[in-house]
Amino acid sequence: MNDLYFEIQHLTHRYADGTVALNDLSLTISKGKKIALLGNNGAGKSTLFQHLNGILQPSSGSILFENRPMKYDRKSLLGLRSRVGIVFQDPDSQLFAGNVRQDISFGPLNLGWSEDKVNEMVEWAMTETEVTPLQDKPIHFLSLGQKKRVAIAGVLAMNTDVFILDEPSAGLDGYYSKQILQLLNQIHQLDKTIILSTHDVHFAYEWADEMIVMSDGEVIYHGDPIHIFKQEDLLLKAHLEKPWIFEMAEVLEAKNIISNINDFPRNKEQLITYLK
Amino acid sequence: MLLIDQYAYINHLAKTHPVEKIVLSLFLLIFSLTVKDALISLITFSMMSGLIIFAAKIPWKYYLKLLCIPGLFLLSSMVGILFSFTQHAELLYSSVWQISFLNGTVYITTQSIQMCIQLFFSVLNSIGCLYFLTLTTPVHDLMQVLKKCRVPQLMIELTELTYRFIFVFLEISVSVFQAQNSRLGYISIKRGFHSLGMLISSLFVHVFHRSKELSIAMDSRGYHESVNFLEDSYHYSKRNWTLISFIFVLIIGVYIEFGGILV
Repeated sequence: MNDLYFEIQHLTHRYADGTVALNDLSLTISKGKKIALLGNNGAGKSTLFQHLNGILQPSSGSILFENRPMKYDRKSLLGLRSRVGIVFQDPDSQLFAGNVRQDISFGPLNLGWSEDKVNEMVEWAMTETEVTPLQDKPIHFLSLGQKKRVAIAGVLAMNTDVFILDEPSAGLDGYYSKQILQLLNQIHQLDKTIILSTHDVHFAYEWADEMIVMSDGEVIYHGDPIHIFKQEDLLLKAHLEKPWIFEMAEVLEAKNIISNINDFPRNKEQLITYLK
Repeated sequence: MLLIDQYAYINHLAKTHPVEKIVLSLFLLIFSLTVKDALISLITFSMMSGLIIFAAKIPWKYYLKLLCIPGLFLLSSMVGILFSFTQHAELLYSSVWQISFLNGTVYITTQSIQMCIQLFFSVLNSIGCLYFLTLTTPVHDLMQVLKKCRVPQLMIELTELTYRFIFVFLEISVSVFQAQNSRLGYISIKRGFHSLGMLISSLFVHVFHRSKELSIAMDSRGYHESVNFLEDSYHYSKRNWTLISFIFVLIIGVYIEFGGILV
């Protein structure tokens, strides 16, 4: 039981206007995973993320963090948030400091680290997200893509055990999406878990080792990122299309070049080795 | 977005230690306001303008435009102070100039002239000093200095958030305006007013929404008690301090030698 970060039991969330955003949702989030959360617009992905950070409280049901029920008093929330970091979808709502460097230092300083440690983490986060040249610029000088990277750096620098990103690749060009993918691979360590929501199935298929698919506030799939694409009805329900690598793999499977579904290529390089 | 704000970050004195700039401009401001001397005010103003244009390299045309804004206010208030009006002309005894029409009299007194001159020079040097500070020092540098001066944390945080939200406000209003304009929202005056009303109300909604989102985001990054940032490191420069002390000595010397020579 020690390898779980979150255990969500029958979580329901109802907004004040009566909309049921999450409906009797049960889910476990293990340690050391790279998890992609997919689903159509309005499926409840952002609501779920806000629950994992204690921003929202369940209408009914409960959430366990490391086997202990989450508490919503100030001190417990601070404790939770020093372990679980979240990057919001809209960077404008997250950034507020005078300049880039200061904004990134906000989270780490709240953790009460020494100034040397804060400096080191801020430098590291800036290098990883390639915002070092921007460090003295005020936030309102930045473009959307730059703000996005600064927002990611701001949470990255906190070095939390669970790293949640709400659509990290939205608004970024191909180059920076790839950089983020590489970065997420790099920072992933044995006991850390990264959860991100995305509409990019290609990205999710390539990167994730676990996939969660949501629709209408419910989890309709939770498992490896390959079998989901065999279930046409689920794909239709969640507005997902098949990644092109997966479609190529299916052709290879039909020709008996690949026999086991677990050997399906996950990226272009792996696919090419089959084609040789 | 705002040119005056942008220059604060890109001018050639932006990397100078903020304390040096604040000490220089505030000392000159307070000194010339205390001694109320026309010559000192003129010197202060020219020195500040010189620093703005030649040291900070702010384009002189832009600086001139900036001067026009308080200049207009100055002119209009000088007119108000200079001219007085009475219906009992027989009580006037110290007017330098007067004109009667209908049953009233407009007049100027020596006192009002003196007051005007004093106002003109005080405003002139205040504008110079404050523009020097605004055009060369980014807002968060000023905040850092205020923090060192033990200004209450709450005030500084409020100022910092307000500053950030000015730009959120501007950005939203520009994007809403463009969206309206591209759908011909301002095609006629009547439609224009309608669109403007919608812009203003949506601005309120947006800003409330933003501030709520921001407070959530701050909480989730572990905000408690106070907002802390890494401070930018600036270095004091011996050369600058020598220059500043030289200017102080010079201006005090000029006042003692030549004070009161003008007016």
